[in-house]
Amino acid sequence: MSGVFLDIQGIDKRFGDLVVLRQINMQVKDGEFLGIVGRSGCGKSTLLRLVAGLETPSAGRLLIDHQQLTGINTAARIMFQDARLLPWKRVEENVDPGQFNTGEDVNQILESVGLLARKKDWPHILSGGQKQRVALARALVSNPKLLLLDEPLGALDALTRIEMQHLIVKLWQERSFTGLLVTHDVEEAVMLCDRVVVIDRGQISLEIGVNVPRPRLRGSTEIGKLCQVVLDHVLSSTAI
Amino acid sequence: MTSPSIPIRFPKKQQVSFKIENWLPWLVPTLLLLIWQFSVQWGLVSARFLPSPLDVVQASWKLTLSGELPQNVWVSLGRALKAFAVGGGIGFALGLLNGSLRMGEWLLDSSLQMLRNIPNLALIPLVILWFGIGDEAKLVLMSLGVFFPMYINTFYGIRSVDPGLVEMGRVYGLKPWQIFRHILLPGALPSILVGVRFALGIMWLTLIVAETIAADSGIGFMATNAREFMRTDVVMLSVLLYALFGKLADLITKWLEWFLLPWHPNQWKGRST
Repeated sequence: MSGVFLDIQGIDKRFGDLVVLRQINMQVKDGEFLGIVGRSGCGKSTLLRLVAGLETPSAGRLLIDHQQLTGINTAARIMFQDARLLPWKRVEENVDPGQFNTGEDVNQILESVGLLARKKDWPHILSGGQKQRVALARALVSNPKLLLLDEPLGALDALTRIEMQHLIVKLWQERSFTGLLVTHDVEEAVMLCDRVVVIDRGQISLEIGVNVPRPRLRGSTEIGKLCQVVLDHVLSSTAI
Repeated sequence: MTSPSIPIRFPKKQQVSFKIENWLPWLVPTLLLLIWQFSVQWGLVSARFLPSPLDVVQASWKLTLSGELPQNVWVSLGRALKAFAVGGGIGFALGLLNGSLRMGEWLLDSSLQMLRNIPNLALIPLVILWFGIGDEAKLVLMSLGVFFPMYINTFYGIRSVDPGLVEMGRVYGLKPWQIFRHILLPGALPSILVGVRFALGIMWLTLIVAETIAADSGIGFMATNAREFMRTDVVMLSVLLYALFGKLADLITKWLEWFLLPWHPNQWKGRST
């Protein structure tokens, strides 16, 4: 199992007259976990949707393992802010909506997110955190080479969020996919990622490596300092 | 937070075998029946004008023995089912088509919305001119009545499915027919069943009208025929039969909902997995 090398070359994205992204150049190494931070409306979610193949760039190229991306990115799985589970399918069917995997794979991934006992349940009786764990299982069951996380923990309470962060890091270390996390939570990005990029008004305005060995401690001075640097930068950027 | 030393007492539910909410709905109908029976029996109302409930029961028994009642019920039910299959089937199919494909909507939806506003009963003279007073005429009228609620609720059911779920399906590699089968269709199902409910209501209404105006068999015919001979008991029986079938249709749709929507949160009162 491994990830992909993601190469973004001079990408622009416009919706009509509105310029959302301008000249984005970025490379993500195979197996790297990259965090993308910015104010809401800065274009970070659009960048993720471009990588997923849900939008097409207005200019520039997007290479996955040196192959130009056209259409839906089949190497990628995306986790949305809302779990987007199908209410009419039980947990185990939600994990594999296209029925591409074996029952064994489904059981195994449910086991790793700690929901094997709930596999026969309907989604509406699960808590918000459990729903997102099902969504994480769904994203990872087919062993994707690229995991895209679009503020997947934004709607969860603080404790559940910390648990989910640990879970994501654990599964990333086991499976070594390439990860892309979009978030407005600076601490989350610093805790999870190898490198953090700040986007301001559609452009990359800061890039900073997080060279802190894992497991990382939330209260440690290194983490605290990095968070402060990134946060100061985000706050100094212009609000839209 | 409660300290552990304080025992928490949950109020125990009283074990009552006689539950008032189960019996109360029957009180008013039973009282009405009794008042009806005794006011006829004691001569407060003329039996010619309003037959007593017992008279109605007797009439239904006689007609059952003579074979007239089962025959007419059978004919009416057959018409209802045929019309529901034809009108409902076409409405469902077109609803799915126009709901899933923009091209279908552009081509057909505005025309259908225009026709929808014509009450199907307004077409009776035209339908009689075209098809006579045979079964075809009734089938056309009833199918038209059933078609629109099925079409509209299927169409809007498909359209109201959360686009986020469809997007999820695309990202997760589902083929278009899989998106239809696993996301659009089940998402539209609650609305489709609302359509079934409406369609059944309109179906009975149209059936009654069609059978009363022009027919030589069926429950409606039985009532019209009985009127000619001043058989109020048979007329009453026909009315009660329609009420019974209406209730039966309602029960069937409730059962369908229970069976087809086990995941729906509304159904989660008193249901285990």
